Amino acid sequence: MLEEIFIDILLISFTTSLLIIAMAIASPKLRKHYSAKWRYWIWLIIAIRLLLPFNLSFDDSIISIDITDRSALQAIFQGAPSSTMQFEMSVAPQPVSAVSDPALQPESQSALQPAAQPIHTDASTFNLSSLLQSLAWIWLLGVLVVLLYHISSYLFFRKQALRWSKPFIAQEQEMDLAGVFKEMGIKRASVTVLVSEKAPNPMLVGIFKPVLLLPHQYYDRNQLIFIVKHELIHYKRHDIFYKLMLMLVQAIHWFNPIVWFMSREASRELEIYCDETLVAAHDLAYRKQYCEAILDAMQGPKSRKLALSTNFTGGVQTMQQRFISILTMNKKRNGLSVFVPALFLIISVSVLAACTNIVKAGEEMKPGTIYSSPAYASIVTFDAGNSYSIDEEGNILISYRDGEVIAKSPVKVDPAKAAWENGISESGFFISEDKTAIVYNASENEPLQIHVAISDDMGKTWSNSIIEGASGSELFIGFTNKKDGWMTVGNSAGVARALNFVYQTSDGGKTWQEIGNPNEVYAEHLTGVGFSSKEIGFFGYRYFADYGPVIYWTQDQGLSWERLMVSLPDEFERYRKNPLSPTFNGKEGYFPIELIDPDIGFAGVIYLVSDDYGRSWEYDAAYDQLKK
Amino acid sequence: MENEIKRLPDAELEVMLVVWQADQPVSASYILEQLRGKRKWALATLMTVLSRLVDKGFLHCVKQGRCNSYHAAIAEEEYKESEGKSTLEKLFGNSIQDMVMSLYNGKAINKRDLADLRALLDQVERDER
Repeated sequence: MLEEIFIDILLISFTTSLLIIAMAIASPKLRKHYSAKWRYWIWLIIAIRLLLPFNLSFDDSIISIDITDRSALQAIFQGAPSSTMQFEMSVAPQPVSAVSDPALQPESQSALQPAAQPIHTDASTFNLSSLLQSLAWIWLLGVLVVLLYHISSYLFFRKQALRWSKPFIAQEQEMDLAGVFKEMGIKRASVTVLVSEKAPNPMLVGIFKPVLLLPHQYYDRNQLIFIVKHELIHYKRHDIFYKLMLMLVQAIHWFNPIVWFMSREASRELEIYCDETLVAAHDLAYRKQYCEAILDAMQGPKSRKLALSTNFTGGVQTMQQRFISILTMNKKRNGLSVFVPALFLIISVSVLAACTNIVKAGEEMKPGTIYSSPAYASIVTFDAGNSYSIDEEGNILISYRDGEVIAKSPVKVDPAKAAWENGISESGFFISEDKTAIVYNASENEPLQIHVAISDDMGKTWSNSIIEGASGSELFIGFTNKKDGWMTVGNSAGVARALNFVYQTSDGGKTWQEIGNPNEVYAEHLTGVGFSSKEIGFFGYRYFADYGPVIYWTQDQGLSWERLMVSLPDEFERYRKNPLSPTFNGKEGYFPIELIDPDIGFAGVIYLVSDDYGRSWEYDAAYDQLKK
Repeated sequence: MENEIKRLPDAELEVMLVVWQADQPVSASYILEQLRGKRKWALATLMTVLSRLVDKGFLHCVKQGRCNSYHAAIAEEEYKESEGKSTLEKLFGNSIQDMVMSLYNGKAINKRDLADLRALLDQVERDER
């Protein structure tokens, strides 16, 4: 969990940094021609993006920019070899799995057996993942340290400043004060004004009960009015929240100097925008007066020692920039010609959307092996290099990366029996390196109960959950990402009739909720099932009344189902067609259809292809795999 | 004062701040008036605080007719020095600027910077002509 968040944060930090750099490069130009308002808003959007590590869905964003190869990034962070999402559809004409009938396939059985003993030898993955774990903890510690430092320094300062404070009550100045409050449309009582020599400069402190702290009370009339005006603009604009947000961003991304830079730039912009508002619609003389007032305020009261310190530097650049901005602003465009900044805004929003897509990659998993069940025998619809087998004792073994890693699942069957008598279903497996899921009927002790076994770490650890109230022997399972998964539980209900029930999970398989099923619309034996998202799913049925393919689909998470109309070339008319399980890679979908020749039986597989999550499908001859 | 100067609680320090600022003997009602924007004390409360300060040797009480008037027995600078800059204050230094809205960052500007800014304003003035 922590590691996942950490990876998300790293990805966000990295991708958003690119945007920050672009913004920094564009800033001088923007500053020259446009008001600070734009930069204020752009930094705000960037800051918000940096604060939201979680999955925002911008799937259908108009512009989508792929900044970087996600899988490569993922691989770097996860310490696993990059798995390119190539779709190598290997469809086995015969039931490939060793499970279906052990007696019939002795050679594949024995081939797997020796490798079954040493479980998990993948040392490099282990080291990298423990490194990742330590890094994640270091990151979290850093976040807490930065937060603690800021919060305690704030509380300490507040305490000290208030302790050394006295009320600001010079009669004639109170008049001016009240005047400024009135001009700004703020109730005099809403902000307390105090004098505290612990305040190094005039400042607005506090969120809920704001206090305006002045370092001393010897300001002249002009200075006081400008100071109070400036702070009240901040108050009115709730800039303190902006500032707190920047602080939070800094804490979360403490390891990223570019974010620190951004935070500094944004606070500066906050001040410039405030100045800008204060002198807007005023002439140069007024602007100069304002600068003079700030400069005088910085010099401190003449009667007292200069309270300036040399501990910190860097303040002067900000002040120079602000002065220049105050004095030259009238040449800038603010209202109508907003094309460039608006363009910038759009670009940032869309880049952020793209970043979000990359964040989604954090939940994305490596492709999994997907099975279909056209005739009580499994077909590998998509081979991800992972498979399952049964050893002599009846343990179900899962093999990853073409046998490189072999793990024992918690599921055990009677090796003497056929699969369907054993409580497992050939299609009840989904095997990805990031998510292995097995749906099965439990042992004899507790019959008619559907279990789901899940492993997120290539079979090292497993969790098991029971689906209350579900029963059936025709099982399908799959995941669209690490969190979202689906399964179907079906049972024969008379001749050429089967009832299928559908469940979904959004927590990686821990809990499952039943969603609407198509039984009222169509009830037959399933041959293939697949979902492209939580909402869109496809049920492929064994051909019966017509030659098929019979596909029903939902696009509202099972609330309603309708038949998917498929147009195929005439040449396939003579075959009977069984839809197999569709596979999806994001928007792209591949729907295999098994062809059965009335005379010779299995005749090959053809494919429908989709590029919109399966909303529309088209036959593509390029994928044909026909038996010659 | 021979003995060490004690650290004052918040309320007592506030009274002292008023007395120090007045620079002359002040009456209780004057102090009450000065504190009005920050604390709403009854006269009796203030009198308790005042007598405690007299006991601690921070104030001298002088009878003037019917009223007492008070003046500081310890100079502001002296007290400030005794309280000193705590390590916390040094540790936290500039970081509060991230949590408050400042007109400028007083801790990040030195005398030379001020001269530079002055020069900048003068420059604008000159360009004007």
